[in-house]
Amino acid sequence: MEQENVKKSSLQSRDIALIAVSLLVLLFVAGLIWVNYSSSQQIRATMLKHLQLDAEKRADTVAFFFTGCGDDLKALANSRDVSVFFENQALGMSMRYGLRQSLIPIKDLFSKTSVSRLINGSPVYDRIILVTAEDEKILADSASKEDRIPESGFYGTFNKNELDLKKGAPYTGPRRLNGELIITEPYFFKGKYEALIIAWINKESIDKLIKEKGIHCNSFKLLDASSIKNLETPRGQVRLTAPVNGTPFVLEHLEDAKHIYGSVHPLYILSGFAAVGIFLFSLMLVMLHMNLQSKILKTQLDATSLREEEANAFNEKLKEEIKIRRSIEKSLRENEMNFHTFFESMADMSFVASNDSNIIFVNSAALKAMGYSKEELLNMRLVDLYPYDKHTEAMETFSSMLRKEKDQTSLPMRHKSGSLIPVETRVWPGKWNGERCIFATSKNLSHEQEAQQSFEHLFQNNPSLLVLFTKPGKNIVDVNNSFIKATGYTRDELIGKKFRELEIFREDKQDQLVNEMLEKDGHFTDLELPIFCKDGRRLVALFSMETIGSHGKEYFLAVILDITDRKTPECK
Amino acid sequence: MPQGGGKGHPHAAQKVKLGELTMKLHFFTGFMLAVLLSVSGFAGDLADVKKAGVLKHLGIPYANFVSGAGDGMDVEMMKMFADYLGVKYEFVKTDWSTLFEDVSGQKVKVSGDTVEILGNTTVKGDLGANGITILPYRQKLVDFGTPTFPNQIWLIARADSAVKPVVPTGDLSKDIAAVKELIKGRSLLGKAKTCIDPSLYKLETVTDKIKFFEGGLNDVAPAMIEGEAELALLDVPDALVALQKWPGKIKILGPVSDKQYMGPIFAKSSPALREEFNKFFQIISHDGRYLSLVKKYFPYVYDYHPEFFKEMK
Repeated sequence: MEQENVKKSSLQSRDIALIAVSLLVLLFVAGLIWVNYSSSQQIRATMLKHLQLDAEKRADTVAFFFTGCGDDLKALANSRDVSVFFENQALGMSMRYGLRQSLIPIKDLFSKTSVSRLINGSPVYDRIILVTAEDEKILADSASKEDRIPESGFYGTFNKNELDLKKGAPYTGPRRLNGELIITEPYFFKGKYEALIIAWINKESIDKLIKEKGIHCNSFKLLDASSIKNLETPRGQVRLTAPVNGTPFVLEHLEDAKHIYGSVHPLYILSGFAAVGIFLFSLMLVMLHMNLQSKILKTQLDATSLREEEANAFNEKLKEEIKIRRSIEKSLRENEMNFHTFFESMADMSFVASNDSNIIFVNSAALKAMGYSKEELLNMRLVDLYPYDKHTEAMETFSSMLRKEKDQTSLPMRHKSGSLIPVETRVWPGKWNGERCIFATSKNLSHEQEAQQSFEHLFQNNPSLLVLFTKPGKNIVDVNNSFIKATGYTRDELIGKKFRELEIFREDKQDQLVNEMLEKDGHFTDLELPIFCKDGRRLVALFSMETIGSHGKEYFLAVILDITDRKTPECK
Repeated sequence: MPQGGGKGHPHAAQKVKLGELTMKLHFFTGFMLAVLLSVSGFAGDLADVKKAGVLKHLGIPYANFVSGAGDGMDVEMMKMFADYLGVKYEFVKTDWSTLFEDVSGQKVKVSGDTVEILGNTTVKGDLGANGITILPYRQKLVDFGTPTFPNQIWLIARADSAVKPVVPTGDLSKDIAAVKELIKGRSLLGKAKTCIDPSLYKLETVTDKIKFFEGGLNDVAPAMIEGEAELALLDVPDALVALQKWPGKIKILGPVSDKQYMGPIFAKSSPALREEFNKFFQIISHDGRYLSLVKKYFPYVYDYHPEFFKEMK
């Protein structure tokens, strides 16, 4: 057994070690995969950050570029030449002279500005115009081929559909117009919006600006900020955007995902490793499960063997127990027999009743005393043994005795003939043939009663003076008629009193003498003592006292002979 | 002035009759004028302006006196004057052809220094101010207030013109004579009934190629630049503005006139208003407000006419 336990525990330790090692290996592999994945993610994040920074840098460059363009247009709007034109217009100069002369320097200024800003040698502006807000007429156009302002004045009208000049007035800065990039600057004369300067930005120059050097620089685009919300990123590409500050544009960088993640996305690598890990883990679980099943089987077999052994031991025990029980039963049977015999041999009436008071056994003394046959008694209840009018009292008395509140009852039983049988009955609970039952024994007191009656007759009618005292205390229990007649006391005056107390003995020494004599031998005879009657008469009495028993108690019986007459001369 | 001698009675009787007639005519004219004025309404004098609670400023966008865009030196000055009077200011745009009629309420015909009253017209304002040169014929039409700006008529040419400016001698009459020499045989652009009317300076005697510009006074300089004429007349304020607006395109050749002055005009029926303006101008020309206006609108005028501003603060 001990060997088996050692074997079992070593097996368990080996399994735990195996599981622990497997888990450690699994954790190690998972850790490696995670480190690999997080490194890939970090590289990707760094790459994305780098690209984002690059995009933001380019966006800042574009913003700076637009700021420069805006400054160009502001300079035009603040130029004295433009102001002079509107001053002259206010003065009412004609287009033929004053206004035309005013426009010449404006045209020159616009033309110079349009070629002054360059990116990599290319001009930034395709065209710069000054257009009136009121009638939407172009006042100056850098793209005009005419060297001299025609006498008709304005170059032409601006297409209203292209730009709402009135709405555009407050707006300063770049925007897109019919797919082209423009930048505008309103002109205010004396606080009133009078004209708008519009410059068309050369597409190539912007391209050069945003695609200048750097990583994957060809994939940059300038988009309207409002349009990117609805754009979907093409599959396999990553979209980065950076706002171009101070403009409604964003710089978009659309890059192939493989340039950032490599040919395989780190998530796919992680997923692959995770799948392999899950497979291995599942395999391990299956093996563990199989191992566990074997172990369970083995344990079950071991348990079966153990149970078999335990069953054998139990059988042995059971046999022992059966043996013991049989022996007990035998002794019980013997006991019952003895009990039966014991009851049968008893002079008193014996009854055994079931818990519901049905009589299941009676002895011969009962059969004899009650006048019933055995069959009749076995069909009766205990209370049926009593007169009909005493059934309730008998039941209550039995209950009290079963509760040990009462020892016995003197309730007389009813003979089959109807006569009453004085009995003293005791009842107690017990077992009969293994069942709970009520035992009852009733002592037939017919003879004692008869003897009592005889004694009573003798006592009362005796010519001698008879007194019955309690043994201790010597209180008067009973007196006969002769004593009452002789002493003049009534019975009631005497019962419970002492002689000395009633002055029947007038001296204490009389009492002492009687006591001494009784203590010495328990009885005495012919002791002469004076006693006094109720009326004070003195009587000479010859006392004899004997101890007698009645109903388990001891009494002193005093037989007193009045010898006064014999002693009269002496008395006289 | 009727020429006549005392050579016989008929002549004397004729003189008496003529005198009576003239008196009657004057009486009649005076009566009719009174009736007409009561119908058309005189320019408001000071009490009328205060009663109306508004000062109506008649002006023409010209040089930097009235910009046409709600400001200008005379506009600001008249706004100050309205404040001084405690009334509102209102600008009433007019033009050179009707400026004097709009102020005086009289339709007139001007021929040289002679003024012929043709009838009455509606008065459109209480005073006029936009750099109006004080000229004798104009003084017959209206009353001028205290001169507020110096003036002179200059001859200008395109910057690339072969004509060279005269070298100042310190003697104005000599300089004018030298300038007139330059005009000889060359086309000259002026504008009739204005201070740059060549006839005012008897330039028709110098050249027969005088062109009277039909456009606005402000267009004279650019018209010359455009080649309408080789030379042009410009008053000082206009020339100063032109020099700023067309730098490098015009050049000043020299003076054509004596020194002149510009000032606001009032109807002859508004002596109290004119007097009040004179008082007002006396104040602002000594409290710095006027000079600050000059500096704002004609910063270079000090270079040419420093003596005009000498007494001012």
